[in-house]
Amino acid sequence: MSSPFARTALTKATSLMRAGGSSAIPKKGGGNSLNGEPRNDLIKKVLFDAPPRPPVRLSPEDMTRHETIERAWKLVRQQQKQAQEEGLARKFEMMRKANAELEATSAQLFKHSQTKERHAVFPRQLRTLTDTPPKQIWNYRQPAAAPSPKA
Amino acid sequence: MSFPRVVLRAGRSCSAMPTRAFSVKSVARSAAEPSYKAPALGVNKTFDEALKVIAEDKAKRLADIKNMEASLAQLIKAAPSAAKDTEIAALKEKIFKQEAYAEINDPEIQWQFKNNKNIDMSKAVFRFMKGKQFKRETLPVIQQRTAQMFVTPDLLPTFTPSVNVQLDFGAGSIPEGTKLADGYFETGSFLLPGKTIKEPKVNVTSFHPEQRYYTVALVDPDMPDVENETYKQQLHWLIANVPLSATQTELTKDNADVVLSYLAPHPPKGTKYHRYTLLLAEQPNNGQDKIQMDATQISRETTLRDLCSHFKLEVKGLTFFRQVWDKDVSRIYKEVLQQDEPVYGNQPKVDELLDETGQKKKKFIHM
Repeated sequence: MSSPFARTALTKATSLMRAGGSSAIPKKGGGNSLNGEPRNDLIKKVLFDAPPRPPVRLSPEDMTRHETIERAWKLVRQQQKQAQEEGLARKFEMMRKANAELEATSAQLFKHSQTKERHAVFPRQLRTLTDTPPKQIWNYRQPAAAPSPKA
Repeated sequence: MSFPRVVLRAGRSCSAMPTRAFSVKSVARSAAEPSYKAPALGVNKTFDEALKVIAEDKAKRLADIKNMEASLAQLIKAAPSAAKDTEIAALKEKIFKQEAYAEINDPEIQWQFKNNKNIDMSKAVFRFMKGKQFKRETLPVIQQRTAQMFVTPDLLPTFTPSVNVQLDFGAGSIPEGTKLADGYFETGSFLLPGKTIKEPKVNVTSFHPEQRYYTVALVDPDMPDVENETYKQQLHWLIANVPLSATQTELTKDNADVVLSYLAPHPPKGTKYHRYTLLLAEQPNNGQDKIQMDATQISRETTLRDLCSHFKLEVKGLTFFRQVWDKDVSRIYKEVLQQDEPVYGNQPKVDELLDETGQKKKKFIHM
């Protein structure tokens, strides 16, 4: 596999890097590079020196195959999108029906379901996160604590 | 030839940087095949899978069409209501689109359309594809030329053509540079008077499968009207009850009524270019009614607006060409019209600073 920077006899003469004024022989230690950076030489080489890739030539038969593949792929993406849209539409319809039924059942519950608590705050009993949690996070077997006597 | 890991993107031109040139080009463009050769299977697996996907999609759409046709039949039988006609039209449109989409991905159909071979306009696919091509390529040109030359506000109110009309005056009638790919001239081209003496062949690309009756008229809106110091219209050709459909594209005088026979265009000397406009007007009741045009009612001086309003015609297609006086026009006046050739010009300019004798006007009276 030849390097992408492999140049033909034609492109050698028209190298933009040479026109830029840099030396033909790369020096070690980045002696001639801009700001003392050898990476800039590499960047310039990648941008300006790599020869253009020739266009992919296809026979008419292969061209037909390529276009058919493109069409089929578009179809597949269309079908996927359609399936997604249908799924969403189904979910929305179920949700709408459920809400309509709740509205018919109980006005108070319906109102409660449609509104958000405006003064809601994060749960204050939340355990603070830590990088060093205890070995036993929660004791499932411990019986529930007796309610504390209120004064 | 196989390209295992090359991602092909057709139609992308190379960017400004020479290193990023990446396009798919086809070899042997000039070789025109006489018939479609299906690409061999087993060479490119993705292609084989693509064919399967397309076949499945087609089957699904055909099943969908069957259901829609069943519901359409039911809808037609149902009781008439206000929304019924629009529903029927919408359903028919849906069926048409599904029929088109079912077959549009077939590589054979694509080849046929690209190479303009075996295009059967009775099939929904080809009507759909031709319709799209017309709207994308031909229509903008017609609309631009029509607007630029003021054909539509002068003759008729501005409208969007839905039918493609093209004229063919025979070999050598189109000057070099204005010929289109399909052999017809571009709307608004200049044609020579010597080449338009004989009547043209009218080719109409309509997109409806059923037969409709049209009226064809060739009008010249730029004939000078000296008495009124304006221009008047002249009808050069009028044919009524022309049956046309997607499959019936040529105008034949056998099954149509020629009201005014073809009169060769003759722009007189001294006038600017004349815009000879050919219009295709659909007859009432969606083109199903035939009309009786009396030769006594209609003359060559009838304006188009009067004609359309009297017979309730709806103009659907339009094309025009331009002409300027030529020595052949003198010949036409002598041989075809058998009239004296009029020559038009401007009134001689009167210099307001000189009197009748040509002397400078005197400011003071010699007492």
